[in-house]
Amino acid sequence: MAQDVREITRPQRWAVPFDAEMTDADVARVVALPLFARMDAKKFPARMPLDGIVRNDCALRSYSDRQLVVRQGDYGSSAFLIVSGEVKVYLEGDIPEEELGHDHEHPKNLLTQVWRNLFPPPERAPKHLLAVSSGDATVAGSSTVNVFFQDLPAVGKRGGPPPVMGPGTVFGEMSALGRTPRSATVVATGSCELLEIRWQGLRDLRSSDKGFKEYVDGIYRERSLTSDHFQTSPLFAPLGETGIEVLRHAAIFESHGSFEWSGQYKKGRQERRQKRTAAPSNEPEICGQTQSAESVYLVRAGFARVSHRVGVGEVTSRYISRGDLFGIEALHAYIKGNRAPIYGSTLRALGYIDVIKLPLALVARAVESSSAAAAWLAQGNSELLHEQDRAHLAPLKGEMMEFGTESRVYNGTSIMAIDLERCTRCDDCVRGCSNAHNGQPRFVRHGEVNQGFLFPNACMHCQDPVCMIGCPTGAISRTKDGGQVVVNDQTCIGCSTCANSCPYDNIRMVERSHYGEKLVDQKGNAVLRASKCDLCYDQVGGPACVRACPHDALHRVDFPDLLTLTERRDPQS
Amino acid sequence: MIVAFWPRRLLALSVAAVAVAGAVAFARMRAAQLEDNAFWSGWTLLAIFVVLAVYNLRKRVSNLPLGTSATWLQWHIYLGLIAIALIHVHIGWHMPSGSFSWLLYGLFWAVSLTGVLGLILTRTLPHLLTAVGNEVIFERIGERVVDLHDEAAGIVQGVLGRPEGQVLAGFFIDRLDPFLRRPRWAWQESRERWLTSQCANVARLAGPDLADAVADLEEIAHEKLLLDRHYFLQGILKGWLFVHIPLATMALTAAVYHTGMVLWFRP
Repeated sequence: MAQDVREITRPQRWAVPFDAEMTDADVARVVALPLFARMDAKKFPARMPLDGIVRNDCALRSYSDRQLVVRQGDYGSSAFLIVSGEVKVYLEGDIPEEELGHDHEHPKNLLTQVWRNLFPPPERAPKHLLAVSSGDATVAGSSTVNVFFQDLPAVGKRGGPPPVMGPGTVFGEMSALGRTPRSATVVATGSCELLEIRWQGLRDLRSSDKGFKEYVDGIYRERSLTSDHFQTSPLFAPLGETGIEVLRHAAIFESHGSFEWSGQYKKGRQERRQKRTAAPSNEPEICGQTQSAESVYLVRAGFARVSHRVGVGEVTSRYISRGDLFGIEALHAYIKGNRAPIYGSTLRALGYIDVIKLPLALVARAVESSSAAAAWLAQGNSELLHEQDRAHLAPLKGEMMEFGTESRVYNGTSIMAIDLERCTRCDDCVRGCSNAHNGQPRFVRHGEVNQGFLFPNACMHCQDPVCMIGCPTGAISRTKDGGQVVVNDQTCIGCSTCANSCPYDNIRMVERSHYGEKLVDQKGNAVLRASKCDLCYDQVGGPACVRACPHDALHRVDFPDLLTLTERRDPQS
Repeated sequence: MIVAFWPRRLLALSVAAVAVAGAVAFARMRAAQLEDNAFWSGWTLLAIFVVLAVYNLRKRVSNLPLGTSATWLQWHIYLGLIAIALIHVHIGWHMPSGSFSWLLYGLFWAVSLTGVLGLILTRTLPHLLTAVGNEVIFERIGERVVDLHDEAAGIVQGVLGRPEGQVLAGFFIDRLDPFLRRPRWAWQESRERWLTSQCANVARLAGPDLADAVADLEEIAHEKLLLDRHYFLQGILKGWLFVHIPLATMALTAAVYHTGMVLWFRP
């Protein structure tokens, strides 16, 4: 039977602007701001003009005194430029957690869920797709939250008053560029006006204007060094503020790899499969195994592989991520009297990584002055040496670590892993998913198998969701509270960028329909939308796939838990 | 949360054993007081039957937050085991009398045994399936077999122009074509040996020029063998429910009828 077809205008990049209320006068005012005035509008491509970016990817927001602008820990996909007024910056712990006002964006309602799941509506296209020019646009991905503080601390955690930022300053770029949670809470001081630039606009401004790129990258580096990474590290925390300040002054910020690593990785993976060659390739080396150790590395963001040479290949002993240290063995050896230690293992960037590089001798002196830091170092070093021995003596052990690192599974926070020793292949998980999503399952029980675990093509809700990089409209974003990566059907234009960017092929493009009518554009091509697992973030009871599995075979876990699952099966490892 | 299975199993078995021991002790106490056990044990059994049957309905609305399916299955298994003990309390530890009672008793045991069989199958066959490898979704096996058939036919057509091509054509028509026509519900180690020897024979007759084509055909045939194994094992895993569920429905219907009759004719 032929399906009914309805012709619509294919949705475009700026079909739904970030803020539909941006007027010509607003755009002119923003373009006249010093940061924008320095830009050369002629260097912007015709399809992506400067005023177009301002009109569609920016929003002017007004804040009142003591109103929350961004909240530490929230995921955000935008940066801010202070147009007028001032804001104060509070680091983690400055404001009590209960006063931060974390709330659920999608309150879970049992009755709604029962009704919706029992009587799923036929898929319906958003209004603006059916009448693009109607102006019935919705604000997508706005960060505005109406939280006001009664009392704010006069003194920050570091002892002084909270830093104040004034007009012309940009903030929020670390979260927007690195796809990481906000590292600080920012509160308006008096009335202020901010320009919120969503990630897509930030990307286009950076790529078209060299000066803006240098400015944003510069403050990104500067703030990366001054943020709280030292205080949260078990090695550096015991040194106290004075000891940390000494290290901070000597620290060097380095970035390795590329923010846009997924394309290279996908290409490399296909090549490796065809040639049956092993990793690592396309992984920039940060330090070599036999290289003289001169620094200790603290990871600020991203991932790196730690490996040892065995035979003619390399065995992955661990991967390190935000907050982890590299160079511990060398540091330990230095303190024990070896003044020319080597790293003993190789560190390679997986995708991209930001590291803070600290002089080994300086760190050694600082650690020697603190008994707590020295004790942690001794314990940490013995654990690492044990790992290293395991990697050398039993290179075939830890295949899951090798697989997880090579296939970038470590990136996932909710990896779907099906224990094939328990799975009866009943597909109740797929049915559960389908029932929870209007009859359209968000994954296929098909994917790579390792160690008796199947890793289906289901979104893993990555720590570094590269699928978000290219989204032109911001339709794919993180939920603020749980950080799940979700697609907004209202603003998805079906461009397939996210599906192509996802290194794991976990996003599928499906045809849009409107009450049974297939939606096509003027050329007769189907209009698509991105479909992926949303971890049932708006459902009571958690992921339907887990709830539906009768045999406890399906798990949603992060990578360390995945290793635990494997070891439960193989007690010798 | 990662579930540790043995502690859970031990706990559930202990609770089930205590429940059965309690029911038996209660029944003996009542029997010593010359009181009837059939009424309370009958209602309890009917309630258990209903809870056991509801599991199938719950699976159909798996998206609703009614507890995990795994928890329901645990209750299903252990309530089923308790029911096996309780039915003997109900009928007084002797054989039933009357044809309907025998029918109900027979249905009960049929459901119980298929349930136990299903439990064994679901705990053992996944290991075999994993050992087979080549993970495939049951519903896609047929489609994949058709693809393999077409691939094999393509290989043979590609060499028909050569003199030795007739050997491959004959092999395809006589052996591979029937083998690749549809998935087979079979697991025979001998088929693998047969296939290997057939391919070796054809390779010898076809000569070195067609060695690659024969190797490709052998690879296709080997994949088909693995698909057949999946078809066989997954078929069993899906098929036993088609026995268990109708029997359970009949047993529940008979139990409800039995309860109605008892209430109707109760003095």
